[in-house]
Amino acid sequence: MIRIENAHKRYRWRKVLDGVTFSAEKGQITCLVGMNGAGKSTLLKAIMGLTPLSKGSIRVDGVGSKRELYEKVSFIPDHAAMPGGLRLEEGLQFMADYYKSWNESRAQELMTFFRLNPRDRVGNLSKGTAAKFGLVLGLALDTEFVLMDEPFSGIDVFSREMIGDVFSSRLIEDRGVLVTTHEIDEIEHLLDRAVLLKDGKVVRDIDCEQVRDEQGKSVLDVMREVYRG
Amino acid sequence: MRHYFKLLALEVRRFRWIMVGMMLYTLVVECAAVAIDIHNFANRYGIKEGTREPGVVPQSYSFADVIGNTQGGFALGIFIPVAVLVAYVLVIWYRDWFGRHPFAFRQLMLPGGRIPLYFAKLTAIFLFVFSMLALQLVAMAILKLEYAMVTPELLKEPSRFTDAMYASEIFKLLLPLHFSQFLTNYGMGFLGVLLVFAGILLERSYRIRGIVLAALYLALNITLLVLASMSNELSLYPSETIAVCLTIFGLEVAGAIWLSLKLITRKISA
Repeated sequence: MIRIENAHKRYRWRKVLDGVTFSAEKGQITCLVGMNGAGKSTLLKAIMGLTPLSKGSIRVDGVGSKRELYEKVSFIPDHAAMPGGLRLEEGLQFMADYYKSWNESRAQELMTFFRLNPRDRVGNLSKGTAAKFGLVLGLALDTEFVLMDEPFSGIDVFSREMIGDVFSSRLIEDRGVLVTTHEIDEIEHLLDRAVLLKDGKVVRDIDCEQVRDEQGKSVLDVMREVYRG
Repeated sequence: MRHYFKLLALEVRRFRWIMVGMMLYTLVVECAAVAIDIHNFANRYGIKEGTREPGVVPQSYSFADVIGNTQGGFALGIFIPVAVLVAYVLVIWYRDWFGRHPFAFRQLMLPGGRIPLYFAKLTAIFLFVFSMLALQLVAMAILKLEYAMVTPELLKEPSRFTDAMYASEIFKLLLPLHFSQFLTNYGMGFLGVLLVFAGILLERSYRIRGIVLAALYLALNITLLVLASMSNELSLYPSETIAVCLTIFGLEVAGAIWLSLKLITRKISA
């Protein structure tokens, strides 16, 4: 489980996170929902130690150090996070060199699934192709948790379908997934939980299936209630 | 340690074409400067054009004379790579934060920790500096060969390699004759890089506030260095002056490394 407790973060004078508390469980897909600037990406970066919190704590089960964290949790930002001059095959080699949890056969499987050319250079990839390569780098790690930041942002409809397929595949099974997205309709039917952020606070933390069964509402309906008043 | 060497190899790999370009540039500029200088000198006596006046004995022109007379060309060949390397002290960090696929995200998430990253970038800078220095020594051997090939026999005069080296003010700065001066020059360069790295990490950690903090940090360190260099005016023995300077230097080196490692492991934001 990833447990975020009373997270506070300020950017200059603006409070981005104001006492955020929630958990993401292993084996579940949890979606962080919020308007632009709600602090979703900041939270993911804080979990990975890519930005320090002003106050609060983050705990990941079974992780005692940052080194362990990066072998147990993978972060897929909305870009490839590799030098532009590197070929994709060199990017894969880079990951194999540094991560014990790197799974080469899965990486090759994903490269084939996304129809990526290993000889292409990172700097020449389109946004959609770079997002797919980012997914290869993140999902080919045998980690317990996967964090994804806006995996559908600015991507064409066919690429979205391919990325959407990943969510219902065995690549995700048994892992804990924490995803931020504006395009909630792409994965709404697959979500287990949704955490709605507003003004740096958690305003709703819902069990999606329960809300569907008991209230007959979708996550989008709940979002409308929260964000449109 | 394995991660450090791998990161260092990556840093070298990423700069290799610029490095090769700079080395070629330096070689071409220096070879051209020497060729032009010898040609002009020979022409003064009409040796090359065959218009030499009989009875006029040309002044001999040694390799050391050539080096001493081509300092402008050498400055052009050396200072541009130096400027590139100075700029690269900043670029080596910032290129990983900007662009379409910021690499800083990946670098800061490596399981080997962030300390090897800092030292890999630091070592890379020194490797580049000393590679350029080594090239300059190789270039001198090539230039001497060029001198032997293009100088008319009538003008040739033997000279020692060291005389040629120290005929140029730039070489005196790059490769001082005394080892203590060498240590002082490169030690100050080393400290400069450490201070700039600490300044960059302050900025990457605290952004706009970080720029102010970095400026104050650099100003404080420079002031301390200036004060240390003025300590010989305090009627101290030379050994005491050296001790004061070395203490300040050691404190600044240790302080810069400590601050940088603290920032990169705890405060920096991708």
